[in-house]
Amino acid sequence: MKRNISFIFSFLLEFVLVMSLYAQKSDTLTKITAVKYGNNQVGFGTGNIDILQNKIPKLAFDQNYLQFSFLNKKIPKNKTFYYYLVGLDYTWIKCEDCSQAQYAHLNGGNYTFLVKTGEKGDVPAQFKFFVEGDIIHKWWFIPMLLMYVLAFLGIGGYFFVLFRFRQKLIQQRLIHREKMKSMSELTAGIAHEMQNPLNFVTNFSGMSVELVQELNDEIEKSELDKTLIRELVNNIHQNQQKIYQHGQRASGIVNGMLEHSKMNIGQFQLTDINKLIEQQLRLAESVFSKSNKEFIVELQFQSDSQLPKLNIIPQEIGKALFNIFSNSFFAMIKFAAPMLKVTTQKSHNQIVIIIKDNGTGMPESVRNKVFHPFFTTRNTGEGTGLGLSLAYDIITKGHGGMIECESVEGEGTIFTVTLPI
Amino acid sequence: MELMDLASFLDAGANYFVILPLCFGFFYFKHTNALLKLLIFGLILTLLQLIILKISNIISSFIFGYILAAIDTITVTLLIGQTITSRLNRNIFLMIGVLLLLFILIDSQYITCLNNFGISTFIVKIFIVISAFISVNHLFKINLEREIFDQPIVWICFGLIFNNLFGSFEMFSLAIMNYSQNLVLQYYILLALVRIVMYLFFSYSFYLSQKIENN
Repeated sequence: MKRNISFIFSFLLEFVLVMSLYAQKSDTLTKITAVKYGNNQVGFGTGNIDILQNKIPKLAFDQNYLQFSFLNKKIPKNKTFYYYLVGLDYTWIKCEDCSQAQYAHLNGGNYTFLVKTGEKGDVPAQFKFFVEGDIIHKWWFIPMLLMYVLAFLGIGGYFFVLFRFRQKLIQQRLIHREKMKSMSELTAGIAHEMQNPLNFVTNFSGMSVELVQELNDEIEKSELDKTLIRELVNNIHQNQQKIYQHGQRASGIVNGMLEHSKMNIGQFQLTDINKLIEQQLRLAESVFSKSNKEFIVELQFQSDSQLPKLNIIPQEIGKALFNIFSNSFFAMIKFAAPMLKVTTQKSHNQIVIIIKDNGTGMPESVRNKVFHPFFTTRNTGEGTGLGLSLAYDIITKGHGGMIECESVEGEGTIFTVTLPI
Repeated sequence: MELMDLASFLDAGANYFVILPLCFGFFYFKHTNALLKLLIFGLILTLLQLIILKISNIISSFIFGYILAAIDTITVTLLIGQTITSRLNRNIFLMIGVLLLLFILIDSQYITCLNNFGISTFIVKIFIVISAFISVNHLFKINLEREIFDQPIVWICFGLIFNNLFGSFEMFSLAIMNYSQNLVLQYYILLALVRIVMYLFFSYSFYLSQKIENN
């Protein structure tokens, strides 16, 4: 029932609208007198369109420059109009004292030109037309656009590649510079470490030569002074001992350097890391205590018993751990209650070994260089500065792990060793 | 707002946007080197011709198209010429610039007879793109110690490449206009935005010049 009512209502409304349009049609006050087409490139107004034809005129793509002429049928002197091109304009355009309207460069498509006077109830006169042609269908348009897109992409891509190349070049140069820097530091370290024992060897051997000369002179004498001879021989003996001792030291430095070059000697094997740490901890403590008899350290080892066995070279990792422990002991030598705490734990796919001491700690300047070869804060002859550097190489290069150092001056140092499982 | 109004507004706005890099240029004038001073010179010429075009109705805009192409050629030839270290190469480059000026003259008088500046403009724009491209290409390969994007000339060249490559499409705009005015208007809107970006790059290059000097 409701449906029928709405149908009847809409029918009535449509009827009223049609009737009103019909009534208005006879009230058109404006007449479109002529429509000319043209092209601003070739010439404007080159042809006329038959406005009386029944068909909707079709205009070529280059006939899209249109001029509409119109007049007021009732009062021809009145030249105020409103026009509107359906398909282009957004609103009615008011034109005073005019009888023409022009449109240029119309796109392809259907249009309706409407024009009316300003009088109330005036029905607009209309002219429908169609402009052919779409630029997309022109063979040259898409290739031309593509050419431009390619040019932009090509230039952009080229500079991107060039930028990446430049960044790589800069990176390589930086690496080279760092290498040269560490090489010069290494050379300076070697020179410094070798200079001392060599000085001793040179001085003591020089003194020995003089003593032998004195001894020869004494033997040449008719009366031998046995006391003097004995004294001279003793001195020569002492000198030889010193030469031997410093020669050994130089040899130790060279051996240390060789250790660096002889990485990964030994076989990778599944190793219980907790056991290895415990062994090395005890060994380092006993070795350090022998040379520093008053040093008594409290050792704490908190091991994670669930740790899996690691595929490592036990000799190498043992050596690295021994060096770290020795450094920690040295940092605590002057402290009343030295304590070294070692913890092992599993974290994701790696094993973390935390070595914490309550020693002197390090300032940032020292901490940054702690893994550099031949860098040492100890007095000459007390250390080569290769221990932590060797440990670093074994852990990172030899086993693909990581070693980090955190330190607070006066509070202690924490070394964190991470080894992949 | 109709597309035509928007395009006209943006085109005018982009043209007068030249004031921004000029302000930067004068503000940081004491920090600028010869290259940036040349850029200021070029920008002043651009602004002057805009003002003349605005106040004078005598000169046809077609003639102005040729004059603009000539000004662009002079400015860019001198500007890019500054970046070429080899004297021989620089002289060859300046010679090409002079030949291009001669071409514009011949085109305006005998080829297009002051009726269509599209060809001259297109060739000048392509010349600018190629020169700036070669210059940036060279800059990328030298002076590794300096960050590439900290060099004012790089931003200037990027601006020139971007604007002129996009701008060279203008040559086809008249042909396209026969089919679709909307398409051309949309292109002009984009071109205006690209020009604004170029002037922003120029402004940044002036800002960089003082930053480099302070460092």
